[in-house]
Amino acid sequence: MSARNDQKLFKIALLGVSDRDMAMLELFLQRQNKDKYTIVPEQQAQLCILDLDSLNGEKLLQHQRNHHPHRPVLALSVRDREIDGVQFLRKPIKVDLLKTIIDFYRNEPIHKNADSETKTPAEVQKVESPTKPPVQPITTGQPDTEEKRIPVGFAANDTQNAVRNLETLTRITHECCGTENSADLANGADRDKLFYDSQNLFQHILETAIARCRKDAYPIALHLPGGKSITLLPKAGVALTDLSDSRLRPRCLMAVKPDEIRFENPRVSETNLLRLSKQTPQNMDALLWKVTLWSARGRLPLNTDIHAPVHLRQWPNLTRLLSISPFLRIAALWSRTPVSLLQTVDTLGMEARYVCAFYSACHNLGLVQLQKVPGGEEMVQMQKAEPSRKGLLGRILNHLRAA
Amino acid sequence: MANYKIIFTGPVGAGKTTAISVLSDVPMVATDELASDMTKDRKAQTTVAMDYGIMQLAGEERIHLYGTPGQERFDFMWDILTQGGLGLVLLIDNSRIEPFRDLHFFLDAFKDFIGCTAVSIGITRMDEKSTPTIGDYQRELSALGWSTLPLLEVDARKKGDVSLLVQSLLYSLDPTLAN
Repeated sequence: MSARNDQKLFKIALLGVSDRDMAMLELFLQRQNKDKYTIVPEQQAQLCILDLDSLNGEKLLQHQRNHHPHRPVLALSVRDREIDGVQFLRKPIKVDLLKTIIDFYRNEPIHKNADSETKTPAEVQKVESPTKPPVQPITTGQPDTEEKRIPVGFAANDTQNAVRNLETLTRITHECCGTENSADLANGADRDKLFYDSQNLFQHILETAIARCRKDAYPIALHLPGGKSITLLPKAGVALTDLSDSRLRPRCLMAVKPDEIRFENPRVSETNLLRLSKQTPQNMDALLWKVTLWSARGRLPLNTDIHAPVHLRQWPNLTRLLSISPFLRIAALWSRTPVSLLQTVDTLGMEARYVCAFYSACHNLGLVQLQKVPGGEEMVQMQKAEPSRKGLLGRILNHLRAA
Repeated sequence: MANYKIIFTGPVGAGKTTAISVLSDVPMVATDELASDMTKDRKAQTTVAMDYGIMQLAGEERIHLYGTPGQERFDFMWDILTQGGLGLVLLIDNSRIEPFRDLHFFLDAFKDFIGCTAVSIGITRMDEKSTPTIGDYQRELSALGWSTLPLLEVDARKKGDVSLLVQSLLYSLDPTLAN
């Protein structure tokens, strides 16, 4: 390999990793892009991937923190761990998340600091020259653009926070919008990936129960298998449940058998239910919103017309709903002018799964309406900010997201 | 050095000073004085000129965050403050007696500015008083012909909430921003 190419490679050391795992990780990195990463001895590394479950894992970590405080460490462990300044990835490792994190560090200026520990002064000067490489966005699933990059000058702690946020964001995105290979609106043959039928899902049961309790203005309790329940209180507009999100989420994807979930009108009044409950009430609409996202996973309700313009009746209350940043952009677009789902993907240049997920959730809360336009859809001529202003607004967005 | 500004407005006690302080990268300049009029029923101190904070972007670029004085008798400053502003963040205190009146007043007072920029509305203090609800505000806005403005429940002390409100303003200015 030439010296020139070697400079471009991101140098990764694998510490405390068994021979078998090391071979797998090497293979993984080679498959991703052999011109981007290379495995090096610990002294030369810009990032250390460390198996914390190995016999000397803790010692290796301590050594890194003592001798290379600026070098990022990605620790792998079967347990959730919280150590200041260390990024954790839980086993079993999800490869897309591992790749995202490695890429983040590869493009993040902090690794230059780590790099400089082993460089000559001349090389250090070269690293600190004003020509800095582009850095990665903290949002996921979208193409790299200058406007989404993290500002240069990001501090070490911010980096750790950003990676942690990135991990959380990636997880939430997958849970709400599916994977990158999901729905392609332009491909009619992709129908199974594009649509879902909620009739046999928990989402439909929750919708029905919410509609009924609102109509009757009386609480309804849903009794689920395993002794868990969700009680809907229509006057307060809240739900009480002992079911955690981590248990509710997988339930949203499973078909519900007839009579598996039992409805009941509690004998206690709504006021008393609220007063006596030890559970934290959650907004009923927020519950339905997230259940819809988890059920749809980036798909559309069956028979949705992807060519019909979508009219946003009102903005979803995104500060109090499960949300990712693409949702703001879609809401802003639809609030300006009705745009079809197909055209939304095109105009915003984002993956269809975000648009489908947002539409499904808004649709279930009655926040959007499909318009019937005779003669098919028309191209939307949308007023955009001037290029200079656009750059400025993008930089403000980056600043807000990085904070 | 490039300088731009975002304007925060709303009635007394809506959280303008707090919202600016959570976003500002420098210690905020506040012009709070001891309240001497009916304002003192709501808060001990009130802003008499303007609040001022800065978001320091990469390089030399700065975004100035200006808060208007909440008291209407200082409204002569509002036109001056909005000159060259990127957009408006309107905070409405839900615990006040007539929040809809505040909503009407501020949308009307800044309608020219909103017309050539954009506005995002944050409803604060909903933890203290849950009504009117966000849905009630939506209906009120629809009746006023502003049905699709960004309207979010906000805790002005929470940076995430304020940040999302400002992001909704920026996307309202141009939804294709991230392209």
